[in-house]
Amino acid sequence: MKVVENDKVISGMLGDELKRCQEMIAGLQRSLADLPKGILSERKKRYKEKVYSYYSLKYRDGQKVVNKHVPNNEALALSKKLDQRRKLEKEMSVYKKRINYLSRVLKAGKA
Amino acid sequence: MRRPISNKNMFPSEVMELLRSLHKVGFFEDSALIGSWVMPLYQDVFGIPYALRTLDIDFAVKFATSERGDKIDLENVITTLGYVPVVMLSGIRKFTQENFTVEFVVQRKGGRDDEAIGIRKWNIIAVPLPFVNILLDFTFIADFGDFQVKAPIPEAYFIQKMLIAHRRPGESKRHKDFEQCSVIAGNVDHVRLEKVLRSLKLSAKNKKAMRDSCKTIDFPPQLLGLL
Repeated sequence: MKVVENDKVISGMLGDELKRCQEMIAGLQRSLADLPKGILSERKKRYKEKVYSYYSLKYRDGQKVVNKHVPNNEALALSKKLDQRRKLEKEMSVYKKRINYLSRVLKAGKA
Repeated sequence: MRRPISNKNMFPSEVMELLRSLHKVGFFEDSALIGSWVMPLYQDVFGIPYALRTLDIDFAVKFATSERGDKIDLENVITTLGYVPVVMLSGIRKFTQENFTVEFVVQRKGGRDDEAIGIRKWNIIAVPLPFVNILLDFTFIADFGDFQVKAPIPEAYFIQKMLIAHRRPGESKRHKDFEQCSVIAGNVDHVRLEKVLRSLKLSAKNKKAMRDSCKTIDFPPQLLGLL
């Protein structure tokens, strides 16, 4: 880690990168707060030769598992939002890993 | 000024794909790639060596006052590539994918203190910063063959950094600015430098900032018209 220790520009860039990742986490958390959570499931029921679809959103609320009915006309929009949430959560985990790595590198550089 | 690029693999494939997509929708007609990602272009085209890069990819965008003209949903273009939009606490919208962050900057209007400016033409929210116009007014086109990227000429990048470095709140960013300036300083074209300088009307405060920057990197201030 001598490079980090000795080079002001490199250690500065790593510090800035850590800050950038922390800011991205804050932004991601903010974006996630506006999105619904849970799993959207579709149940199909046959009635008199016709197949009807019912959607429900299953999510955890503290200790409880909630099953909430979703009107058919809202299912597509909700599915897109849930998909967006998954992408943001994936990004969040990438940034968290990077923060852990950068913290270790910077700590080792100071030691 | 159009310059062919010899090292067509200078950027990671994700970045190449992003630049290609932006070129396709005409983004580089009035916008430019800026930040540390221009340095590989400088190495290839102008022989300016600099290896360090950050993971945020910045673009300078012209602020369009007119509502006329084609509108292009850049958010859609970028998210199609797998990036996800993230609204930062300041209100600006960035795009991220596997650690890469795409961000847009725009010329800050005099006297304004906005933290974010919406550019309707591109459906983006950009960060207003001073002296972005220098980067947009003096550009070259890096020709990758199947697509082109517009970027500021090194002399414009150099002057902009020399002006803003002392305003940087963070010491590390200031160090990085000066390091890039030092590298470019040894390779500046004096005719192009003069052209950029002639276009500027600098206040006494900005002239002082340039003088201080010259002192920091040991660059003769008279070459910037400063005595």
